[in-house]
Amino acid sequence: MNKKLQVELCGIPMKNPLTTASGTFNPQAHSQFYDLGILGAVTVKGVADQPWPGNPTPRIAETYGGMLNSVGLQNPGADSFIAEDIPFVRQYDTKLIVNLAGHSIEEYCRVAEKITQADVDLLELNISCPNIKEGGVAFGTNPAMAEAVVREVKKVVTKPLIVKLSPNVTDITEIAKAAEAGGADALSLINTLFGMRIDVYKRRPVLAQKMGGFSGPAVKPVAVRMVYQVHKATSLPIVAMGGVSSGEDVAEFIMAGATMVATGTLNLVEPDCPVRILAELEAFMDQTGVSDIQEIRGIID
Amino acid sequence: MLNDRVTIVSQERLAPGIEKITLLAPEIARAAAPGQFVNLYSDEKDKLLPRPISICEVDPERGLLILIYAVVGKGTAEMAAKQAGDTMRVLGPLGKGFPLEEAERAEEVLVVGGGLGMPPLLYLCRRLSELGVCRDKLKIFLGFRSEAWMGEEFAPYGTVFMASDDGATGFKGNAVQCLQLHVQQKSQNQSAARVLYTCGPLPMMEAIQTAFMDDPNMSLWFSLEERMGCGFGACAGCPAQLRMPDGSIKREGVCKLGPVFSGKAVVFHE
Ligand SMILES: Cc1cc2nc3c(=O)[nH]c(=O)nc-3n(C[C@H](O)[C@H](O)[C@H](O)COP(=O)(O)OP(=O)(O)OC[C@H]3O[C@@H](n4cnc5c(N)ncnc54)[C@H](O)[C@@H]3O)c2cc1C
Ligand SMILES: Cc1cc2nc3c(=O)[nH]c(=O)nc-3n(C[C@H](O)[C@H](O)[C@H](O)COP(=O)(O)O)c2cc1C
Ligand code: FES
Repeated sequence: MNKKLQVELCGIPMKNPLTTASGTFNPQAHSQFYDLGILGAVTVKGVADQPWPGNPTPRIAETYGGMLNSVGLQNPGADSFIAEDIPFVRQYDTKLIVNLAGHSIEEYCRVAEKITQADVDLLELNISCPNIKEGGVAFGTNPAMAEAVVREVKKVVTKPLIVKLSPNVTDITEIAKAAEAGGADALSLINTLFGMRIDVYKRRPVLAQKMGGFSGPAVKPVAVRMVYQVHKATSLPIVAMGGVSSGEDVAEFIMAGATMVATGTLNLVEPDCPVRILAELEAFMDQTGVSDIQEIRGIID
Repeated sequence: MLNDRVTIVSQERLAPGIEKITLLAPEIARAAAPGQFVNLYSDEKDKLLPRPISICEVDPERGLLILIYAVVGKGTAEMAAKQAGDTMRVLGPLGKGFPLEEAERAEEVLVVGGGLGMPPLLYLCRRLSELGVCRDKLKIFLGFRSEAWMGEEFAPYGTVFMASDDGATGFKGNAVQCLQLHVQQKSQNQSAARVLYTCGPLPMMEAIQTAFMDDPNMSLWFSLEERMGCGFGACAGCPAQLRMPDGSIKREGVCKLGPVFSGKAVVFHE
């Protein structure tokens, strides 16, 4: 059967709905395992105006069907990113989404201004990282602050702006609507859930930071629910992530309302997972008679 | 790089809780350098993260990869329950391994292993020997808790000194005390260039750093461990802290730029 996997995000055509979740994918590292050109888009790690050192170790802990991380947005800063990572990704026939990090509106605007002028396709504003003390999640959990930061960043960017939402809120639709009001072009969700693990033999937290971001297959039902709610509450296109590990998971998020879907934690433990997931998605379409992936978008009442 | 299931050729208990596993993995056996490691993955989806294990030895002709590991948790318990003929998913070889150039020029090469840090030093010693580091230049110090579960394998490559905490094997004390004794007694020519490679518990490596930090003729190479999310440089989960000549601290991923770092640069406490 002839299947159509192409989608459009904010007017930008993508060869398929699959992308990678920020911070779980490194173009140089992952290109050892498969041709990045098979992806609709690559979304790269959070980049800030200046280099950030990140948090003390241990930064990683295993949980049942998932993991905790407290990397703390360690990154080499915008200038190094522009010089090294962008040209690398541009060797591949895929779109580039760059995730932006900051502690304040000013910092977000500075990095957005630098990156929007570089050779990238879309920007993703991370207002939802649970691993930094100021900024990040503070903007993502308060509707007024979310709207304000999106509005200011929108003023300085020329590329479509995706706003990445935190699941660590009582009502995600409030923040989604605030981001829409601020001028977001699209939304992405979910970032990690705030979690914790204690080593009962050592009687201390497993992570040096005590708490960290929970991700992986175990979080998927929460993510599906939130994508569904946000799709109902706003008219913005959605990039969905949270525990994706199969082609069926991609279809599930699209049915909940997503335009694109990202693999996250799975990129770390099965580096070539997009190859398998795309094949599974096509098999699912064949099996259920879907000829155009857009047919199933948001079909759940 | 191999990212696939491989077959277990044999699994043998060396001591209670210490297993030696031999895998048929020709691609890794041919490509691996001493000090590199592999990721082993569980078959159960509840245990997602890799179990990084150092390469102990390889047999490129027969395509064999040998690992020695301690059963310390759920993942290693699952591995220990596997038998010849079973398969498991392996990724590797990963990391950069030990730099060997200095050893070829050095007057004396010291290799110090503590506990589960010993296995990767076996392949290191064999390679050093192949590179022309003769037997009387290579001194190997191995520290055990009690009974030895390896050691003879090292004998063809250098002089082996064994130590154990309780005195059941060789010198009573740890590998560093044993090393210091040797360095004081035997090394007459203190100005000769020496290289020390080590892998083992953090207190052991810290003691080595303290002992030789100010010795300009001794270069140190430490193989470190860190919790890993990926093992191949994608998650920024595993930084080592290194002190640069200008005093600043640099973070480098243990999985990709390590696990071996210059021992004088490693910062153990923030
Ligand atoms: C580069 C490197 C080389 C290693 N080489 C060896 C070796 O040759 N032999 C050996 O016995 N052990 C080695 N280790 C340690 C080994 O990885 C752990 O003992 C093992 O992962 C424990 O898994 P588990 O499921 O039994 O324990 P659990 O405690 O159930 O593991 C839970 C999680 O913590 C991680 N973890 C637990 N202990 C460690 C540790 N010490 N270092 C890193 N991650 C850990 C596991 O990978 C897993 O993700 C090495 C570690 C690193 C980083
Ligand atoms: C190690 C790690 C690092 C991450 N770094 C970022 C980041 O820099 N920016 C961001 O917006 N999200 C980051 N995330 C969140 C992921 O992009 C994703 O939203 C989340 O993990 C849920 O998807 P998953 O369950 O498939 O992993 C990170 C997640 C992990 C596991
Ligand atoms: S473990 Fe992921 S970068 Fe080292």
